[in-house]
Amino acid sequence: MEHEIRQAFASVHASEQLKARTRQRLHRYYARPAPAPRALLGPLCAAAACCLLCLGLVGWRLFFTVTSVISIDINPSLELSVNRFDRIIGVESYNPDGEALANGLQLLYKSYAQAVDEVLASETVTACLAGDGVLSIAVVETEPLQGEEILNYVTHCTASTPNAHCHSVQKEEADQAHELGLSYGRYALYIQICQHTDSLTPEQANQMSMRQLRDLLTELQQKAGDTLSDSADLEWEEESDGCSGSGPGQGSGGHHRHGQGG
Amino acid sequence: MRSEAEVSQAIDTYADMVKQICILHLKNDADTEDIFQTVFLKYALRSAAFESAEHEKAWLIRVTLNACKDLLRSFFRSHTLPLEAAAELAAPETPFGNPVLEAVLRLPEKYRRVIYLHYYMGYSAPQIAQILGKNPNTVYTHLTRGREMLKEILGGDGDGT
Repeated sequence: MEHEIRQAFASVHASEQLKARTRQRLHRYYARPAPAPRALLGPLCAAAACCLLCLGLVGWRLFFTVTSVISIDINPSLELSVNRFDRIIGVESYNPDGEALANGLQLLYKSYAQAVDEVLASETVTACLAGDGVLSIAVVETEPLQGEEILNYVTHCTASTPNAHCHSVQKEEADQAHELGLSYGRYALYIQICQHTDSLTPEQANQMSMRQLRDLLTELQQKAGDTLSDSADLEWEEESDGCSGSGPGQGSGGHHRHGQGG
Repeated sequence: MRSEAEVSQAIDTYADMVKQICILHLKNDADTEDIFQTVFLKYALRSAAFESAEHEKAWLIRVTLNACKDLLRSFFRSHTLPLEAAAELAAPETPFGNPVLEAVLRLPEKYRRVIYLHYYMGYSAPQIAQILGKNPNTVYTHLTRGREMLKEILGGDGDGT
């Protein structure tokens, strides 16, 4: 049987035509332009979609992460959140005047320079300054380089403005101000006033203008027999010694500028 | 990927074997040609080297068997009937003109394979078990049962092994 079976299968041959057609098909296969392997298309598309999604998420996160905050206080209290691309991504007002000012200006997604210029040039702020108002601009820095850059810019912008104070602060201090519902510029004066009296509440401080707060502080300091180094401007670094470390920090600064530890 | 010359050489060497395995399963020329070409295309696409000629041969047997099984399992195949097969049904004949071959082809698929691999290709039961991924004892059983059935079909004229 073995022999018969072997003979039976030995009679089955692949024809020359079959071989030739197979060679032709293979030749066509070898000659064709190499397409992207179909089996890889699905995973490649999925991977590309994942990459795009991740890029989108990372980009979104990068764009909407606050890296600095510019706190502007005069009577309106306004804080502008700046992202790493120097764009304003948030505008927060801390009193009704600030809200009115924020509503009157379109600051979102503008560069911080443009936004600061618009705020300083607004009727509300110019009117306050004309009425002997005190302007405080605090830069809360998360990214030190950007914070320094913004501080330089606002200092330059207010160089010719009397009663303007620009300084930088650390984020931790700004967080304490926000816990009390105050913008940083207002908080800096509030905690100094609190050293002399406990009758002022954060809500009351929020309703007073910066000039009123500053005058109140001066009055309290005079009553307490404190000596002011400058009758026109308050040097915050001198006065912050008694603030249990929660006031504006010490540092050097020019007439308008107060640094935070250099 | 293998060169065209390499594949051409393999066609010369293994064409008959691939055709015979196709015949064992498919029984019609159109499917046979399709599988024949598919097997050598897979051979062309395989980039890994073979350890030996025996390894290459066993790989081709396995690929051809799997390609045939895949075709038989496919939805289209299981729900339609080629014209050739319809003609066969209408007038059954012995297209190969060899009664022994016809008898082998009448065996169930599992017996056909082992009979071919053992009696024609000369593989032992353990080798067949390795190629088919089955237990050697199963292969022995299939061989014995296939041989008995073949004897029955051919009129008990076998000499055994």
